[in-house]
Amino acid sequence: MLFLRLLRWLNGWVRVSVKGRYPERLVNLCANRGIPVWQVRRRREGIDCRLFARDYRKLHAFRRQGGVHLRVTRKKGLPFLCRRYRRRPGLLIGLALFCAFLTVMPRFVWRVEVRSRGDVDEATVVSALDELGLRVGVPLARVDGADLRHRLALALPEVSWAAVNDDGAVVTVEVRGVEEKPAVKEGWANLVAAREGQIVALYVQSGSAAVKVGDAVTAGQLLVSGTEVYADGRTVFRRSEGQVLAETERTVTVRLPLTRVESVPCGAPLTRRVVSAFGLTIPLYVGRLEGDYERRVTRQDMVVDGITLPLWTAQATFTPVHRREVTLTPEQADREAAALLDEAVAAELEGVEILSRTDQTAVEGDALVLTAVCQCRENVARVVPFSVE
Amino acid sequence: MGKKDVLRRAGEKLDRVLEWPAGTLGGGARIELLADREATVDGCRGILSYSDEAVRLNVGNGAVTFYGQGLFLKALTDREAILAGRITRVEFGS
Repeated sequence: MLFLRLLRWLNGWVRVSVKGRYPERLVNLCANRGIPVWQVRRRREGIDCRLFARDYRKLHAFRRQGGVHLRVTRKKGLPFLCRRYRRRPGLLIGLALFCAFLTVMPRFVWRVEVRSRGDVDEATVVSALDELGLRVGVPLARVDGADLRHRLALALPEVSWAAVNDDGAVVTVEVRGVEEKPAVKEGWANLVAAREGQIVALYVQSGSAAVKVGDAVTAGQLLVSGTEVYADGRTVFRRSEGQVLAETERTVTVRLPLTRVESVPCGAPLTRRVVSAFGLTIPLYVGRLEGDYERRVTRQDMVVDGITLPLWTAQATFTPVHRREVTLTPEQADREAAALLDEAVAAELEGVEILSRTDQTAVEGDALVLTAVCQCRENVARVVPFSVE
Repeated sequence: MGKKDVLRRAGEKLDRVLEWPAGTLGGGARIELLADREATVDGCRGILSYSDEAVRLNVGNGAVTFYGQGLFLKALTDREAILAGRITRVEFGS
């Protein structure tokens, strides 16, 4: 019934008052000529009925036959609405554009959501997806979920599993990182020295020690053997396990150039703005910038009810700079080099106990070279598997 | 007896012999009543008389009159009429 009412409204209908001696005759003529009428009601002076607006003109031909007088008492429907607003085309154009917008826009990707489980960085995934062709503004028909997830796993080795789902105009990508399996302790193995040093402690859980406390060992020397020969001639192979602590000497070197190029601001900063909608970026400026400058960009996304829309604005501030070569003073060089050396030592000797440290400074060409010689205590045992043919 | 009458009678006889619902071949109107609120007349050929309390319809081989209150035609085409209102009585006649 609702559909019928909608259909009548779309076509436009009129209510006609039929007055005369035999108004039923007109209604019969309409029915016989294929003109549908409805809501035929008896009134004091005739009959009211409704019919499609396009059929009203045909009634005039029947009027004489029916001997009646016709009067339109009501008009309703889309054709009358359009006629009323015919001098305001903007409304209709706006409505048409809105309908087109609703029809066309859901065919594009509005948002790419990445959900990561594990140690996979979401920003890395977004960047990889962008290179693989999935970004805001891309037609949904071009997004092949099955193909994309395979290509993503190939592009990012840290991704072990990926799923791509599209829910309307939002594409959700779920990724899972590679789980590091614990080292499989299988097979026979010896323990050898990873570097040279003097042994200060020996903790052997499996295997037979080939060295003792106080021995000086070189890199690659056997520390704990996985082969055991018994007195009765039996040979047993096992996987050596244990820790061999030794005092070692480690050297960490850093190099700091004594001259560098610095950027010095030399003018008022300029601001440029862009606006982006559905993947289309529109610059809000004209002209290009010449010369050297430093750029700082801030971006603002449009968020409504916690949903990030594919609309954003960005403002870039360009500061003109003058580049000049600067030579560090000895104090500056020493300070920076020392900080650099501390960082390098902490990174390279992580987990190693440093007993003492001696720093040496030298100038080589146009660079300051700082070397830290560290006396350390660490586990020098390294597992080396072996097999017997 | 006209050709149409001959065909109609033959159709009615065949309906009886084959035990088909009356009017399948014999023609005639089909009236469907929804309680006392609505009546659909399939095979209606036009309105004979019309008022709030009595509507008389031509159904081909006769006429049917619906009596009641607040009667009106919900829809009317060349083959069908839908009558609505409060129907109290239905009378068949020629």
